[in-house]
Amino acid sequence: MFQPMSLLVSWTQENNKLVHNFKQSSLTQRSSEFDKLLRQIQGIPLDRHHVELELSVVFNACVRLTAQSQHEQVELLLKQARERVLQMTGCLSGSSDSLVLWRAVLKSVRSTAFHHCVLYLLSLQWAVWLTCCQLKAIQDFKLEISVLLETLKEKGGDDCRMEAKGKFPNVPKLLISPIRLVELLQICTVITQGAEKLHEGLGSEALSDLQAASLLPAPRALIAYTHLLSGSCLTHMNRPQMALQCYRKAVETDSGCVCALHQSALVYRQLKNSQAEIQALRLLHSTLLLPSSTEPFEAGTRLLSPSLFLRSQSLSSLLSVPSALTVLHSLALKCVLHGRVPEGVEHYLDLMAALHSEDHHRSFRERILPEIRCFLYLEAGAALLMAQRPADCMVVCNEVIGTMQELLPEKIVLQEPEERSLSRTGDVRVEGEDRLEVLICTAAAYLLQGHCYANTKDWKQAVTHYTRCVGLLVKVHYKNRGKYLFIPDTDVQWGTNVCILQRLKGLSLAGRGISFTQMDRLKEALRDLQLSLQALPEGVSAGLWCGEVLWRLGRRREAAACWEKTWTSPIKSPTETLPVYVQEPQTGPLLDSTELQNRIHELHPV
Amino acid sequence: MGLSSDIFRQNFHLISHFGKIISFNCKQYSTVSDGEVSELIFRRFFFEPRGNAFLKAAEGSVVISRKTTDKVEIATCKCVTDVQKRARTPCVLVSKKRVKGDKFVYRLFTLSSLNCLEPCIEFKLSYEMQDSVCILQGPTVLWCHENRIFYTSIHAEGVKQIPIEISHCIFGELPIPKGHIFVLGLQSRPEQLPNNHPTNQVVGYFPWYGQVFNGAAILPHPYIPIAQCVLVLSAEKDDHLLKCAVVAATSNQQLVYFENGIVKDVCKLPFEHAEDIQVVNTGRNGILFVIFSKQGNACAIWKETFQVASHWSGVSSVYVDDYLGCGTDQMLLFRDQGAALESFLLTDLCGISFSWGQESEASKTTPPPQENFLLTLQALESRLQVKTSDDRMQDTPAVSVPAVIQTLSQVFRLPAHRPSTPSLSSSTAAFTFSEPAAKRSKQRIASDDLHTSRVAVTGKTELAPMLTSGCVKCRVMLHYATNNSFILFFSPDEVSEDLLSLLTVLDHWVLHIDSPDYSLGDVGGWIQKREGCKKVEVSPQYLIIDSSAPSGLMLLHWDQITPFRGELSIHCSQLQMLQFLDSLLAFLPASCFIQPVKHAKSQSAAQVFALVLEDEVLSLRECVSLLLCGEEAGNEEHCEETPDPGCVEGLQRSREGWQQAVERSRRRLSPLVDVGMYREVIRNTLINKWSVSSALTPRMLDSKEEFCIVSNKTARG
Repeated sequence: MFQPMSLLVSWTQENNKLVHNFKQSSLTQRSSEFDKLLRQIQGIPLDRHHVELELSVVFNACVRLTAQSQHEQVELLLKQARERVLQMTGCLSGSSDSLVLWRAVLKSVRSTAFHHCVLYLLSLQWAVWLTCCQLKAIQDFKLEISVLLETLKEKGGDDCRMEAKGKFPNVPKLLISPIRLVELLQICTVITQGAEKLHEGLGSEALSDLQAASLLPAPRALIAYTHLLSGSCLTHMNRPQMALQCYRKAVETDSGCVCALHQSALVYRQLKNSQAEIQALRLLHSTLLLPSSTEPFEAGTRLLSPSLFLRSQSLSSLLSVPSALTVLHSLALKCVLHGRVPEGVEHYLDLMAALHSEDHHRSFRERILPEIRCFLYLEAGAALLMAQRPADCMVVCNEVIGTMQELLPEKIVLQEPEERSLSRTGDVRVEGEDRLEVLICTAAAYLLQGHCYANTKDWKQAVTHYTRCVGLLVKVHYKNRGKYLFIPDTDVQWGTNVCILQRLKGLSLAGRGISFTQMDRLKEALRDLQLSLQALPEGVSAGLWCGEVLWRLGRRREAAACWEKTWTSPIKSPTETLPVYVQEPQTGPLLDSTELQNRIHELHPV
Repeated sequence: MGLSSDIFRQNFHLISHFGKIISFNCKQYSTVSDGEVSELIFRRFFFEPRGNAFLKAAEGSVVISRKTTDKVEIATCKCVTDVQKRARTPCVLVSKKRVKGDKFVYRLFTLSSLNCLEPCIEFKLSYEMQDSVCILQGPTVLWCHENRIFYTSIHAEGVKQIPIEISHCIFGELPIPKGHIFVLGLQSRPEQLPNNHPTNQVVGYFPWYGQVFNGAAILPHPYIPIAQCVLVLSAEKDDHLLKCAVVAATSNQQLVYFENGIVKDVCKLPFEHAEDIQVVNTGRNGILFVIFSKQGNACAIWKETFQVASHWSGVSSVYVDDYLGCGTDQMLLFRDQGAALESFLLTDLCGISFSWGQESEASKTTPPPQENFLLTLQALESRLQVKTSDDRMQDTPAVSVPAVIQTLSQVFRLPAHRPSTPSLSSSTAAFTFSEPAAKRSKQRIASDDLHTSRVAVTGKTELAPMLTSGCVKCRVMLHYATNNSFILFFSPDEVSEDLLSLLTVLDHWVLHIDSPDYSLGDVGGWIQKREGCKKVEVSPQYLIIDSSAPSGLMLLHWDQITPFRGELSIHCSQLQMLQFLDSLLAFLPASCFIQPVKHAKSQSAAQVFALVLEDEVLSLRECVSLLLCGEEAGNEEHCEETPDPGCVEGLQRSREGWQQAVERSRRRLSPLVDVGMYREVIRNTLINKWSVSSALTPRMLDSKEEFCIVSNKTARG
């Protein structure tokens, strides 16, 4: 009579066919195929002939589900498998606790031929724990996991070889090599644990594990992460130079490890090494522009991507990197502030071009607020002026003025923060306050335009634009006037805005005064320069030019006193706390200090 | 309602026959003429769609017993094929038991188309049949008693026992013309059959033909103990082949579909204890299986999708027939509450639905277009997947890994020397280990003149034994220093010499292993965990694997350049190398590349060295014999007559003779040679060696170890 094929053989063949199909073209595979096969196999009581097959199919089904992040399903399959194994070995326990049951299963199969199959399933349980960030369970199972690693690495080689040769068609095949899976889990666990430790402020504890993990077999990007996290630990332990070494290793290992570049830039900033910071920012920006930098994991791990196992919040925040545009802005600003103006200008121009093209791709809601855009434009304008390109600066400022025109408020009343906090509930802004930024923007644009005209020696136009700036500034009214010459540190933004207003006023008046001086309208010049010094006592050019006007008016002693005072007051270098467009221009008409000294000497011949 | 009320009070049995419901029941009553009479009564009902009710079509009875002491019961009833009439016929099996006595009389009646109950088979048993009785085509009655299986039919001439012993027996029939009733089970005594494979433990038996067959073709081994009911859907049989499609409900709450003993599909049943499977042919809409359990559950499953279409509870019985006469089947479900024929659902799930007395909640009907739903799901899924693949295509791998330039030069280490021991060395104690081998050898070629070099010996030993015993064994280093302070060195340490010899003579491969995406892990550790592997003591960067295989030793050197790259030097036979690589491949990531950097054909190297050694031995033999011959000739002595030992003079002469003989033999053992000649010999030998080694050196340049061997030999010469 006809000999029917045994169920074991037919199911094994079915499993191997599914695995084969999957490896050929994973995309067209229906995810339920393994589940269906598993339902068939689990329709009969588990016995020793079927156990390896059944557990292999459970493994494959779980791998599929894990790849689709269906962890509850995985847990369910694992639970069923545990129960069936315990039923077969006759070790059923009353407990429903997953850890207790796992230990019972592991104990009951310890010296059997299918011990390794149960270990494969344990590795999937590990995967679930890791994905759900149940690090405590992993910690509890540390011993079992180390046994798992050892056993699989010992056994694994032979299995893989057999499978590769296809020598044993009746051995159930697995979707992925369990060794590769546990290797992945091992390093991802260290990375996740490291991130959590860092988050808890215990970076030094994680360091040795991370360093050891960097020698494990793993995808390139993960090795880079171990270096990155080691670096973060060292930063945390206040060892910036060692941290930088680690970040360098991370980038060497994986050129797409943008977070390492970002972290290096932060360390350099902390170390006040601006040139290195600029270098790091530039690298970071160019890397971010590469197409693959957003997806660190690609081919080779296509079924179970490491990103599946790196779900910890702490890790995500460690790995987060600002957008390419933000980086470009920091880069441009750094360049301008640290003596690399032409380079900074180029970056600003790139930034503006990028913003412009982004507008075409983004929906209206995602667009950058016009105020923020205008501040960027103003910075770019200031940079252009520094680079002796007043015409370009004019164009940029015109754009700002055009954008803001319709939003300009008629009048703004400013309140002190303490008063505001008393008078309002919640975080509602006082009316008109949101327009303050619009006003500052426009005023700054006029100020820059004034500088531009002064730069081209068109004094009349310069006066006109400085006057427009001043005209806008007087629209701001201070409630409870008289308290605003200091910067209250209770409200940084508010304080900054007041400070900016103050500087705008000082600088525009100074500019106008200087322009009047050039036009020989000395009285008006003197008035403006003195007002400017009131608003901004540290203004250098206002001080010097005030002296000059006084000198020309014949008030030589006052002039000398004015110069002396200006020279003796501390010179402030460009600062990062204030925007570049409210810093003193280096482009206006200059007075020769030596000449002024000579004049003082003539006045007081020794 | 055309039903009399007594039908519901009594134990009655229903079957379905040609679109009609037939009820059977037994009734005992007393008559004036006959006294106590036991009767088997049947009633035939048909469904009246307009009235939405079952109406009685016919009725009849037959007397079973006229004795008061007889207890009459219906054992079972079923509609089966009557082989003689070649038509489906309702059959009912009635048992009659005397109250006093242990005899059971069984009578099988068939209900003819003329509405007559006709006796068909009668047999007597000494026991009462349990639930295991069943009526199959023939009609044939099969039952199981105390692990033995019996059957009877018109042709069987009495009760027969099946000649094989099986457990977990299952009765059934194949839907093929020449009635094949079968019995399936697990053989109780496996040794009865030759092949003891699990597949063969399933035994089937055709009672009509007295034929044993492999039952696994119907139901595979693991399902026999858990099958609760089995239905063969189709079968093909010739003498050697049985092919069939089977559905079975298992105690694991599954309906399983088999083809030729292979599971093709399973469906989770929504209830336990299935006891009956029927097929509903709904025509164009496909085929349904209806499964019923005694707990009052029933469900319908589409054959095509193998998914549950509908599920009912509170059901007393389920029948399948064409009750409406529309050409396709409908299911008829009776509720278990109230009067049976008064509360029913008649449906095919495809548009036909009649019900009476049913609460709407009782039916949990799933809408039929299950398939459409599945198709939509599939379409959506495949569209999603297509999009995914598009994304992948756009994802161009434009990043290239930056070239990290390694500027570390290779340092050549000879077997390590214990740095802790005090050095008793002469002036040239410096070991120039830091220079790469290639560099050194170049210098050596440049300064080929032997006479410009000088020899220095460096010994190293523990201080204490030298002070106490005066006899010390220690390693000695012989340096050959030239004017450029270039130093050749060798250590006459046997162990390291062994290593160096092995390195030279064994076949040698250098493999570059590069895994760009996935780091290599601890390859060195893996090698060390191989069986029989240990570090070479004198040179720990070398690992030696001493396998018991005839091919012998294997020397390995793993040099990890970065976590992603490394170089493996293998010294062994080709077969061993291949075997080793084979197992290494399983350890390495799948994506790695292995490239042979160099394969030193040391087959020829070994030959060259053998030739050199041969030359050395030959020339030494020649020179030394020349040296000695000269001396022998000069010391030629004449043999004198034996002196008389009696006199003093004779004694004196004998003594002198003896002393001369001693002197001669002493000289033979350590002959004196002419210093000039000796120097000449040594010089010739050395020059010979130097020329050989310089001839070898160019091809040795890429192999530092071999270079070392050359210098070793040279210095010794």
